[in-house]
Amino acid sequence: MDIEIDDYLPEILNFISEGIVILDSNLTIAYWNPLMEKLTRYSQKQVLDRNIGEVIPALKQNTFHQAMTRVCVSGMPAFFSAGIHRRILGDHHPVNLKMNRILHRKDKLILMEFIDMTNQFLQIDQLRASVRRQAELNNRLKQKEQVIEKLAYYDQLTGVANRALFDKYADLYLNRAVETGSMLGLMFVDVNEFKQINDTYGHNTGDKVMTRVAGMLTESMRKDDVVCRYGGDEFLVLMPDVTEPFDDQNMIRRIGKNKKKPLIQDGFEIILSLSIGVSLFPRDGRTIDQLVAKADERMYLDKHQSRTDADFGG
Amino acid sequence: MKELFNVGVGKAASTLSEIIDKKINLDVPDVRIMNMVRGKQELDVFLRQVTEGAAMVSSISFNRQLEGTVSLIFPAEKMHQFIDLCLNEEYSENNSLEFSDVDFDTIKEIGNIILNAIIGELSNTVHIPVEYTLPEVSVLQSARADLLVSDASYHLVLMMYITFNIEGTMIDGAIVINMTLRSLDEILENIDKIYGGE
Repeated sequence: MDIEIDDYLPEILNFISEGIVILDSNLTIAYWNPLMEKLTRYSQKQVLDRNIGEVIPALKQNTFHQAMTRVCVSGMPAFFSAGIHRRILGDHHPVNLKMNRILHRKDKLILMEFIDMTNQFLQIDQLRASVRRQAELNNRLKQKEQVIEKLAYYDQLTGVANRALFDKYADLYLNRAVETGSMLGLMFVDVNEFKQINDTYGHNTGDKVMTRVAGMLTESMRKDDVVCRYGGDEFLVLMPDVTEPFDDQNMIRRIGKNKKKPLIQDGFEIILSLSIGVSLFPRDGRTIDQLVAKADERMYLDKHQSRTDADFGG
Repeated sequence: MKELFNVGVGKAASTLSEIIDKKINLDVPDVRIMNMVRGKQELDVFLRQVTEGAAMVSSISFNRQLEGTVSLIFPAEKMHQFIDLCLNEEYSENNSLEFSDVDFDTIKEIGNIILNAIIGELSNTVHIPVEYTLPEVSVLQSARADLLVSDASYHLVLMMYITFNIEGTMIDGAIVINMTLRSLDEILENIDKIYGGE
């Protein structure tokens, strides 16, 4: 049996899962398949013999009109993507549009294929939502990491560095001082009579005083200096790249402005005094332990001196 | 030839600017015609230096009187930025080699505009009809010249570097035309006929 395929073509196009439109060279609609009816809600009967621009207004735009002319005249295929042209068929169905020329006897026809991309856009939206969720999760994890790091390296009460972070910076700054031949300063600070503050005003107020001392030290120091709570009422400060001549008495005086000053805390006037000792690398030692020991020794001298001054009314 | 391609690329730039509603400049500084061996070497250098191995390629084959393929090649890792610019979306710092269907279709449309403009200009100027289909877009993870140009020794490689400037964002690519010597002879002959008397 000989099959005349031409007879079956309209029937075949009815089953194609793309919107198919055939235009003549005047851009008049000659064929409109069932999927087009679904995509646009226009039946074939409503659109036949009408200009494509009347039925799909977006195609009146210059870009599409020129492309249809080019396809018809020169046979150059055209492609319009749903990403760039979001609303070819209105809001509901994003489509890719392909245009090709069909030569039929002496006629030049334009075959238009509308490929529904709704599902692809849905998938992209789902993917984006999942990427967003992942990013939020990562963000929360990062925040938790920061909290953990804070717990590991910072003193819970005062918020300044703890001994673990002090050790890290001490190594780093000491190595750098050795490599560059610069000086590293270390300051030992002790809050005098802190036990008495606790006993007199209570531990709660004592804690707040300690936090204020930490804040005061941090404010008096430079950006790269590291203030560390070393023990109950002791602080250490690392001071990298100090320059010669190092005037430690001046530095002590700077902090010492606060050495004996009345502090108002929780409605009490508390007399706060600090004992301070400073050591320098390389002058006073080559290791951190040596520098801490030297600064500690000088801090005790300072404490002794302040007691003597007090005894003699200084 | 350079003038001819520049006219085509200029038209493509104005069509693209209109479509994506952004100012686009396309610059083709030079056109080089090379034999197969030299062409492959040059293309391999480009693939190594500009695309760092992974390329997004949009290519069409043409036949009838002129025979060959033409490919638009971009560094794949820059394509998310390029696509986001075309779709007016905020760039999400995505350098991955994973692309959605919508990404591929965007490049297909842009490839079609540029390749249409170049081959169309060539075909119109030298009055030789060319027939081709829409471009195929693919990502080559480890792109080599071998995968992009034919091995036949009678083929030539025309190479043009193209720089996209989309509102200040620059993306370097290349257009590679791989055609038979007979096709090129025909083009040059027709150019001679048209401009020979001038």
